Amino acid sequence: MKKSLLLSFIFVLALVVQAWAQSRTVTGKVTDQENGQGLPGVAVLVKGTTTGTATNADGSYTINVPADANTLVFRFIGYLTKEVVIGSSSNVNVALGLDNKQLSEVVVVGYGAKTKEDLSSSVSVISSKDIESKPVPSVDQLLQGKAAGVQVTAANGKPGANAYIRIRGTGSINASSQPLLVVNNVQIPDNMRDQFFNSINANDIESISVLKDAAAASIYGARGSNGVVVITTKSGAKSKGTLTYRFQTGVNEKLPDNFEMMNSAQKLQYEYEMGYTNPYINSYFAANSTTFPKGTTIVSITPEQRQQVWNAIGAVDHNWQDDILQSGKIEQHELSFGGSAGSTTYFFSLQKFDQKGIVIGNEFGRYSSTLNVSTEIKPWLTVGNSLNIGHTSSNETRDRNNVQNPFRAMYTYNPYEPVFNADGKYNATHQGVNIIQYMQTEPEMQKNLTGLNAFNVDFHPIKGLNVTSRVGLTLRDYTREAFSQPGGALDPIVGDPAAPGSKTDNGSKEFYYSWTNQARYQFNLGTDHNISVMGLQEFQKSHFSSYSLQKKGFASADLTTQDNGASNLGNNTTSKSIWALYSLASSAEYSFQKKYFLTGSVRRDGSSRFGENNKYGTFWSTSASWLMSQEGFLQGYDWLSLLKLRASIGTVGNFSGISNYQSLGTFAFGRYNGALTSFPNQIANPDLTWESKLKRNIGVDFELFQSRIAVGVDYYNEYTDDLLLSEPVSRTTGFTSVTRNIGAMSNKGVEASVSIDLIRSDKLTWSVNGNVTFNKNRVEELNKGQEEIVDGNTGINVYRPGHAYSTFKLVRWAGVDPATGEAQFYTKDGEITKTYLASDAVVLDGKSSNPDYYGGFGTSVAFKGFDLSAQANYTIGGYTYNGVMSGLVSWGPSRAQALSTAALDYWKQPGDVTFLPKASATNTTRTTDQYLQDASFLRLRNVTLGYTVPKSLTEKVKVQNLRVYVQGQNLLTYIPNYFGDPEVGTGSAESNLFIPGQFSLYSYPTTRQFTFGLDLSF
Amino acid sequence: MKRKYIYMLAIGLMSFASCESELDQEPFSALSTGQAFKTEADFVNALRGAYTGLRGATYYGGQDGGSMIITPDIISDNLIINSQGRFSQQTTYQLNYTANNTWNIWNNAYTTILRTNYILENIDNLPEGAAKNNIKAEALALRALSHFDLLRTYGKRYIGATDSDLGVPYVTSTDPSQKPSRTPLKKAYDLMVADFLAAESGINSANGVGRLNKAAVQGLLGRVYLYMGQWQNSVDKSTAAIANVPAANALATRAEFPAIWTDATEKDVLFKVKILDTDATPAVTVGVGYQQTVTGNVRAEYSPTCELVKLYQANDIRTTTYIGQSTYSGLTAKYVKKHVGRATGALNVVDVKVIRLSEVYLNRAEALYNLGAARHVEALADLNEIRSRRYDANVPLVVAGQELYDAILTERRLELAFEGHRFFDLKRLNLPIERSATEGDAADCSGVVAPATARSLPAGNFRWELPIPQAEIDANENIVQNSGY
Repeated sequence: MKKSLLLSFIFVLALVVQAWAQSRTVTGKVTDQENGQGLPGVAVLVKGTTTGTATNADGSYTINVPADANTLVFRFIGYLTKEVVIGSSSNVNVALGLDNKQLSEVVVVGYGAKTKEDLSSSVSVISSKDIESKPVPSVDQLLQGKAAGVQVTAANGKPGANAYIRIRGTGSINASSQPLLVVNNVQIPDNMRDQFFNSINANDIESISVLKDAAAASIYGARGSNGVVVITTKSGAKSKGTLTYRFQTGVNEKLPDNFEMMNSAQKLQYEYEMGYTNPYINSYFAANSTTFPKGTTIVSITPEQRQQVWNAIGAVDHNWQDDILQSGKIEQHELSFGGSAGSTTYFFSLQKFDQKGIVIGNEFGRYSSTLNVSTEIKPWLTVGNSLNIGHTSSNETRDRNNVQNPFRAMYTYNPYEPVFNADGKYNATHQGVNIIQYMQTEPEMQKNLTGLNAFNVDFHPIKGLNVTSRVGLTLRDYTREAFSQPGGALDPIVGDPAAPGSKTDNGSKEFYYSWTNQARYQFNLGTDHNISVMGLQEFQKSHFSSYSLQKKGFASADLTTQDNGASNLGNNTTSKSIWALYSLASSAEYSFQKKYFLTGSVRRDGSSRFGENNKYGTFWSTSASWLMSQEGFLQGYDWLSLLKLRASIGTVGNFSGISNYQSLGTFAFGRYNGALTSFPNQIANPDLTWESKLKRNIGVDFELFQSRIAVGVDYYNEYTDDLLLSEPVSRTTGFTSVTRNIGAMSNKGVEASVSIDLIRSDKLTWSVNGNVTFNKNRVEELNKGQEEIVDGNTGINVYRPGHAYSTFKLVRWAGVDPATGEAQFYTKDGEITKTYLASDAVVLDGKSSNPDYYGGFGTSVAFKGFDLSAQANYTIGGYTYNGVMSGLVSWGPSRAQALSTAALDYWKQPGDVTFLPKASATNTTRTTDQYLQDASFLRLRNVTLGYTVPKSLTEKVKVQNLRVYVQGQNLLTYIPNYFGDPEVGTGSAESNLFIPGQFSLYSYPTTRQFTFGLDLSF
Repeated sequence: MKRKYIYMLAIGLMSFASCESELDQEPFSALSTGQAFKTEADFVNALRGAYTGLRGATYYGGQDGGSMIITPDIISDNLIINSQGRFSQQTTYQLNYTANNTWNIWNNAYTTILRTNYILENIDNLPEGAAKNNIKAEALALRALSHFDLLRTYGKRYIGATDSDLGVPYVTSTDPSQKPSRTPLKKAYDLMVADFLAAESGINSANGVGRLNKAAVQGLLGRVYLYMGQWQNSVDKSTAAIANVPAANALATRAEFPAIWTDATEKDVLFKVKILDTDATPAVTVGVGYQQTVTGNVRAEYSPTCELVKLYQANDIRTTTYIGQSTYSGLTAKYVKKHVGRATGALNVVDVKVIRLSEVYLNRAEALYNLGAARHVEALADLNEIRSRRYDANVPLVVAGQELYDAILTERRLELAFEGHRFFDLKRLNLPIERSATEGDAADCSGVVAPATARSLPAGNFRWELPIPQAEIDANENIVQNSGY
C-alpha cells in the first residue's frame, strides 16, 4: 500500500516533467502606483479563464496567452484590480493602485479559489485584518460576530479556551455539530480541530473562508455537514521581503459581576433569621464559655450579646474574590519574515504567547511557528510546502460544581471566614477545603503538540489543465498530568493514608495523513461559454492511540513520575484505533457570458466506520447564479455596482457520530475466576451510516455607489436526516439498544451582512459593518412512537418533535403566596398548586438555549496616521438555566455558604410580595423556571486605537512601518435580564454540560483584557 | 507522447484503488464475531463469558437492584426491611412492583442466553469429540438454567397451568432483530427440560469450580421436575446427582458447614458462580444487598423475620452461620451473615451458590413424600441425613404423614433461607406470603413492622408473576404483559 502510494506519486511527478503546450507569450512588469516598486506575487490572468501566473520578486511576469485572448487581468490583494487590453503587443507593464476597501477579491473555497463575481455559493470571508493582534490565542474565538450565519460561543473565559462554532444552527443531537476545519487545503481530523484552533497563530493567517451552503460544502462529502472553516496561512508572495516584529503586553481580569454578594453583617443577620449558628460563632462561644455556656446558640442570646458576637466574627470581613483571583498577564513576541528570491516565495514566523490566568496557578503558554515555501521550478511546475508546528501548555483548574472549583469557591466562601487560621495554616472553611491551598497542591498540566505539513505539486502541462497532488500530514500529541500531592488539600479527604498522594499520567497521540490528487481543466467554447471541470481522488487515514497510568503513594510533592509511586491506583490502560476514508469527487462549472453561472458537484465517500451495507455514500450539489448587473438593461444605472442572485441545493454528511468500529459485531474480553472470558459486546449494525443533510439556499448580493454599500442576504433551509439515535431493541437479543439512523432535525433561517464606507477620502476613511442571523431549529422526528428524549446531563432539556433542540422542560413557577409565603407552582394543566411534583414539568415552547437571532457589528475609522476600530456582538432570545443563581439566591437550605443579597428578598409576613418564599433551612430550592433566564446580551468585544508613525519619519531609521496601539477586550456588556454573565458556553465541563447556553454552573468566568502593542517592520 | 501520460495517470489511479481495502478495519480491543470462535480455547473463553452473564447486576451478581440470592427472600416471609437501612428494593418488599419499577432478571438472563446461543451456533467449528460435547452440554445447561429462572419469575406455577398460559420466549437464536413472542409455559418448560437432558448426557463429571458438571445438571433437573410436579423424575435425577457427585462436593459435616459460606470448602456445592475481587472492576459485592459494614457495625438492609429466627434451634449450626446481630444507628437488629465475604479480601465479595447437594436431598425427600406413603420412609431418611449434619447431638426425627411433610418444608426453609428459594417455593406450593403485624425489625422483635399494605400476598394473586419490564414491552410489540400490571 505504502509502496504503491510512493510509486504513483513518482509517476504523477514524472507526468509533468516534459509537458506543456505552445502558446503566445506576453511579458511585463507590475509596479506599485505610489512608489514605482515592483510588486511580487500579483496574479496575472487571461480574462475569462483561470489561466494565469504570478509576478516574480521584482514584479516581472511571463504568461502564455491563447491566440483569441485579448485582455489580461492583474489582481493583487489590497490593490484595485486592473484589466489591460493586450492588443498585439508582447510587453504589458502595469501600475496598480491601492484599494481602500482592502477586500480580497479571490475567495478560497473547497479545493480551489474563485473570484467574488464567479461565486454562486454562500461563503463568508474573514480577512486577516479582522483577527490579527488580538489578545486571545484561540482562532475559533476570534470568529465571533464576524460572519453572518456563524454563531461562535467561547467555551468559557479560560486562557486558550476553544469555542463552539455553529454554522446555520445545530445540526445533530448525538453527532458533532462543529464544522470541519481545513488548513492549507488539508482536512484536520475532528479530534485535533480544537488544538489547531489553539496552536495556529492568528497573525499567520491570510484568510478564513466559511463554507455554508451545499454548493460550497458538499465537495467535502461525509465531513461537510456542519459547514467548513477554510484557513489559508500567509505565503511569501504578499510580503515584500519584510521582517516584522510584533509585541504585545497587557493585563487580564475577571469581568465584574452584575449582582452583589452579602457582606458579613448581612450574612450573619440572614443566618440568625435562619436560626443558624455557624462554626465560627460556635468557636467564639466555646472560647468565652463563661458568658456563653455549652448549648448557647445565636438565637438564645440577647440582642446586645449577638451584636458583640457579630462584631467579633465580622471583623475579618473581606471579599474572597480578592484572595482567590489575581490580575492576569498577557505577553506576546513574534517575529516573521516573508519575501521572495528568484522564483521562490517564502514566509516564516515564530511566536511566543503567554497568558497568566485570573486565578492562582492557572497559565497558558504557546509556541507557534510557520514556514511556507513555494517555488516555481519551471513555468509549468510549482512545488510548495507549508509547515505549522504549535505547542501549547496549560495549568488547569477544575471545572466542576464542587469544592475543588475556585470559581465556585470565590462565591461560596463567607466574607467572615478568614483565609488563614490563627496558627497560620489555611482555614479549611465551612466547605472543608481551602481552594487557595488546593490550587497549590493539586496541579493539573496539559500539553499539546500539533503539527501540520502540507506538501503540494502543481503543474499545468497543457493550456487550461492544472494537476495538483497534495500530501497532508498532521499530528497531535497530548499529555496530561494530574497530581494530588502527598499532604495536600485533597489527600487527607480522598487519599489513602497508607499511600499518600496520587498521580495520573494520561495522553494520546493521533497521526493523520491525506493524499489528494486533483485535476482541473478549464476551456472556452467560443467567447460566451466558459467551462471548468474538476476531478479528484483522496485518501485519508488516521491512527490514534492513548494511555492512562495511575499510581498512589508518593514520598514527596517533588516526585512526579509514575515509577516513584508505591502501588497502582485503578487500571493502567491503553487504546488504539484507526479510521480511513476513500473518496472520489468531481465538479463542473459553466458560465455563459459571465452572466449566468451553473455549477454541479458530486462526491463519493467510502468510510471504514460505516456498516458494510452502507460503506459508500454519494453527496451532490448544484447551484446557479445570475449576475444581473452585467445585463444590458441595468447598464444605465451607475449607482448599481453589482447585483447577483444565487440559489443552491445539495447534500452533505456527518460521519462524526459513529465511533470507529461501531458497525461491527464484536466480542470483548474479561475475566471469570481469574481466567479469560469472551462475550458479545456490540451488535453487528451493517446498515449504520452517516447523518445526511439536505441544504438549500437562495441569496442576493448587491453593491451600490461604487461599492460603498455592499449587502448580502441569504435564506437557508437545512434538513438533517438519518440522525443517529439509540433505538431500544428487544432484551431477548441480549442487548438493550442499538444506534440507528432514525431521527430528523431542521434549521431554517435568514442571514444578512452589510458593509458601508461612509467616508472614503485620502485623509479620512470611515466604514461600518454588521451582520445578523435569524435561525429556527426544530426537532422533526425521533424513534417511531417516541415522544421525547430527555437530556441525561441536565434532566431539564428535551429533544421533542416540533420543538427546538434542547428545549427546556420544567415545572412552572407561580410565585410566592403573599398570604402565607409558600411557594406556588403550576400543575401540568395550569392550576396553581403548593405541591411540587416533578411530573408537572411541561415543555416550555420557544425557550431553549438557541437564540432567536445573533450577530455582530463594528466600525473603523482611519484619520491620517490614526486608526480606531470597534467590534461588538450580540445574542438575543436564548434561555439559560441559571445554576449559579439557584445556588446564590436559594430558598434557605444553603444558609451556610455565602449568598447574594438577592437571597434576602424572601417572604417574612403576610402581604409581602417577594421573589423567594419563606426562607428555611429545610426548604428545597426547587428546579423551576424561576431560575430560567433570558440570556440575551450585547457585548463590546474589542476596541483598538492605533497610530502609525509617518513613513517620512521612520524611513530615516530604515523602518518601513511602525505602529503602536492599545486595545481593550470585553469592555462593556449590556445584560437586560440575566443574573451574572449570560455568555455561557460550557456550563461545567466535568458535569458534561457542553451544550452552549444550556446551564451555567461556575465555569471559568469571562475576562477583560487591556493590552498595548507594537508592530515594527524593516 | 500524450498516451504515455495517460498510462502513467492510469497507474497512479490504480494504486489508489488499493486504498479501498483500507476501508475494512478491525478493532484492537475486541474481536469481530467471525474471529471469536476458532479454537477450543476460544470456545472455553466464550463459555466462561456465558458464566459471567450469571454475574449480571440484577441476576446472581446483583445487590441493591435485586438478585437471585436476595430478592426471592424479600418477596416472602423470610426478611423484613430494616428501618436503618438504605431502603434498597423497598418497592419490591412492599409488593408494589410495576412494569417500570421491578426486579429485572430479564436483561441479564437473556444476555446469558445470547452468549450460550453464540457458542451453540458456532459449535460445529470444533472437531467431534469429548471436548466439543462437554462445551455444548455446558452451554445447553446454562441456556436451560437461565430460561428456568425466567420461567419461575415471570410465568405461572407449572402445576395447574393450562396450555394457553404464557411462559417466556425460549430463545435459541442470536438474531439481533428478533422480536419473539412468549412461548407457552408448558412448551417452554419442555424445551428447557430437553436442553437440560441433552446437557446431562454430554457433560463432564467434573469441570472445575465455577462451572457446571454432570451432578449439578442432574441436581438442577431434580429441582425442575419438583417445580413441575413430576415426582418420580425428580427422585431419579436427584438420585443420579447424589451418585455422580465428585468427592470434593460431598455433603459437609456440621463442623465443615460454616466454611461453605466463606468459600473455604467446596463441600456440598454442586454449582456456584465464582465471584473474585479481581474479576471485575469494581468488584461484584453480592452481599451489599443484605448488609454493609459501617465503621465496624453492620447496617442491615433486610433483617431475618422474627418468625424465621425463632425456627432456628440453639443447637443448629445454621443459627450462628446464617444470622448475626449488630447495632447500627441506635437499632439492634439481626442481619444475614451468609454473604458477608471470605476470610480475606473485599467485604461482601463471595461466591454465589446456585445449587447445593443438601438441596438435592431435600428435593428428593419432598418428591418421595409426594409419591405416596410407600416412599415416606425414604423421604424421612433424606431429611434426617441433612438434619444429622446441622444439629449438635441430633436425635433423628420420627414423624409421618402431614407431620413429615411439614418437617420437610420447614427444614427446606431453614436450610435454603437467604439463597433465593423462598418466593419460588411458596409459589410452586401455592402458599401465601404472610408477614407479622406485630413483630418489627429489631432483634428483640420490637421496632418497625411491615406496612399494613404489604402484610400478605394470597396464593394465586397476580403479583406471583413479576411484571415483564416495560422497556421490553416498548421495544417488542409481540410480548404480552402479565395480567394485573
